[in-house]
Amino acid sequence: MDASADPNAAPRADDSLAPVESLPTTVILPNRGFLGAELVELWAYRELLGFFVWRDIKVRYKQTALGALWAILQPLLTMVVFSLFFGKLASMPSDGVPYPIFSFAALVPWTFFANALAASSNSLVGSANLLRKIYFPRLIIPLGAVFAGVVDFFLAFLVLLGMMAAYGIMPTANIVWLPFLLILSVAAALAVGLWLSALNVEYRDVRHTVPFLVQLWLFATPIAYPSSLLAEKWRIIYALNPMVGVVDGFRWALLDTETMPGPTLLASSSATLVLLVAGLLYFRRMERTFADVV
Amino acid sequence: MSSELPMNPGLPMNPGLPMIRVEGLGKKYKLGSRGGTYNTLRERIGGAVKSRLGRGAESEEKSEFWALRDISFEVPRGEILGMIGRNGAGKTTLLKLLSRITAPSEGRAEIRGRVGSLLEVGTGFHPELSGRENLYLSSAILGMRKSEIDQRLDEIVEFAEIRRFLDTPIKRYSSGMRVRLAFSVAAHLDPDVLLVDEVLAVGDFAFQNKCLGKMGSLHDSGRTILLVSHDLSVIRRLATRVLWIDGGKIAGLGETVETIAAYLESGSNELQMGGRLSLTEHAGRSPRFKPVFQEIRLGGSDDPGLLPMGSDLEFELHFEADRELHDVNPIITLEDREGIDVYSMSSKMAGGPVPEKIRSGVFRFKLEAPPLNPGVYYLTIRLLEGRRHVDMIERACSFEMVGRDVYGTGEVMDGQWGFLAWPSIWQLEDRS
Repeated sequence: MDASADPNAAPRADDSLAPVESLPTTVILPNRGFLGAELVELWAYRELLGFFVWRDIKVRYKQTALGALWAILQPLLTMVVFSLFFGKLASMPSDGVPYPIFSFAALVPWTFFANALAASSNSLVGSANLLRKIYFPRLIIPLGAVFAGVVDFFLAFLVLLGMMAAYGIMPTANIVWLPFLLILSVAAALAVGLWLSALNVEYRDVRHTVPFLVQLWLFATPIAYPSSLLAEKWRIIYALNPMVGVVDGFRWALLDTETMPGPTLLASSSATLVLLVAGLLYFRRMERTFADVV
Repeated sequence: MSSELPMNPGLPMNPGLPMIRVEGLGKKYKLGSRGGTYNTLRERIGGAVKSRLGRGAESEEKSEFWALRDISFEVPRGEILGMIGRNGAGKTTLLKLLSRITAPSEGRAEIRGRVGSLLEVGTGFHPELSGRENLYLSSAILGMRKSEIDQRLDEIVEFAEIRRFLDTPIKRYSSGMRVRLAFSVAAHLDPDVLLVDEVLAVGDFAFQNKCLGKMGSLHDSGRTILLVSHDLSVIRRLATRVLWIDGGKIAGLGETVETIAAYLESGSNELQMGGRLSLTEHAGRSPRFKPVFQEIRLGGSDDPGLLPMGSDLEFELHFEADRELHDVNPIITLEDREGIDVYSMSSKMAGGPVPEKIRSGVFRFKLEAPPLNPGVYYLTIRLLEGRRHVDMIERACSFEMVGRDVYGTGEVMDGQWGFLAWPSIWQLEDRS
């Protein structure tokens, strides 16, 4: 695929036809080019990515009575339940922070991750009609599904800041790390989403697996409990779960918990990177036949 | 490149590089993965076990088939190449390969310039979004920049005739409005190469004509178009050359009139006079329609197989829908061998019945002594509900008009006198 065949090339004056020789050529071959060309093409289609994100956000809360409030209610109600059962009844330790804020600081990135994962996993199948009828870089679809969740994340994050103010907790200077942590959770959701969405095209088993997977993952991540409950020697292996780094990072940056997230973050980031690159390669191998199979 | 070299005699003189060059293109499908059923991991695991046991390899090969193979052709700039062939011949597969929706299994293709593809109108529309929002979304999906859309917004809305409903969610649009908006977006893409599949079969006649006009003007401004249509009259009107695909291979490529004639001659659904033909699985029905027409019967002649000039032609159209239909109006079109429309009539136009509410029934009609010269004629039937098509079968059947001494001169008409049988009076003034 020639990357210069940018379908979004600048519009030209209507009547002047450029000579054939000067037009960019699209070459169609059984095998696709190298991954780089595809990423260049993805950049050329960035506007379409924007449109997909905008559509998903716009449509998500259409004909709902509560609208965007859902973005806040989901982590908020989970927090209430967790505080009752784990905080009050089970007296779960919470690294010296009030339990409600302890769990909410984790639930905000977690809710984003869980929703983005589910949305991207089903994204290709949900866009089957597009896949069969139009060409554009297929990556845009799971990518858009993940990005669309970021807006919900910010709404919930505002509530988190409000709660912190109510509890009289000032964020630490480590808050500058938050953007990185957000990117890490986007990358993690995308990495898993790429695998699952591509698998879902061929095996609809994925659709039934995702809710179950998310549930298990929730307990494999220090959301209801602190990771300090684990023995020191298991911590690095534990941190191969990308969300461990994200959640511990959030608490450390906002609530100044004692967990030093350095090694944890390193392990989580590396795991995410490996998963993401492998996911991209797998996705790329499968995308050639999406239209035939979906 | 020297222009003095003799050109390939089969191709028109078109110096310069082609806009589309296809070389040995082929596409292989696995049979199991093509149908509506999807694989489950369980099946995959079961299959893996089977092949371990040594039984899988054989069935693997049998379950593949080539939807398209050894396709090579070139399209020079400014051409409208019409693509014809039966359902399942591979036309749509070829368009999908060229628009990069799916990757070929072998061969290569090159396309120059910006490619716009229109394999289905309204792809990417979201029912909850307004007309304006869908317009932007759909344009972006088809490859337009936001700045371009802004520029052409008025033009697109004007063409689609939906200005009043621009901010209404399109779930409240009629299907006709949706089609108009969708086509309008696509028509304003301004690509160098436009790939179009069968999109004109929907919508009302007036708008269809407008779309055809738009394609003509795209062509006039030097755009190259690859057009698939079941409607041979569309191909005849627009195409500068025709590519005929049959069974995944090129069956013919050349001059429009000749290629269409060859295609029509290659197979027919000949219906004997006084006979009946089931229409439930007719190859001329576009896949988008669920069968409503069930059967067609011909009567009106004692001589089976042939209709002598001057006799009445009678048809019965048996139809049955899976729901109540409203304002049902059948349309018949007669085409001659070369695909020229000879005659069209609807029950409504003829002052016949247009039932307000019906699910199943039989329309009978009689053409009184059709003034047609000898030759084979094809009957295309449509069923409209209001202004919307609920079924349509291209060349549902054919019949042959046989010559007779209709003018009482002892001369029998044959097929060389045009299609219209029209009595005339000849006089001579002898001034010798």
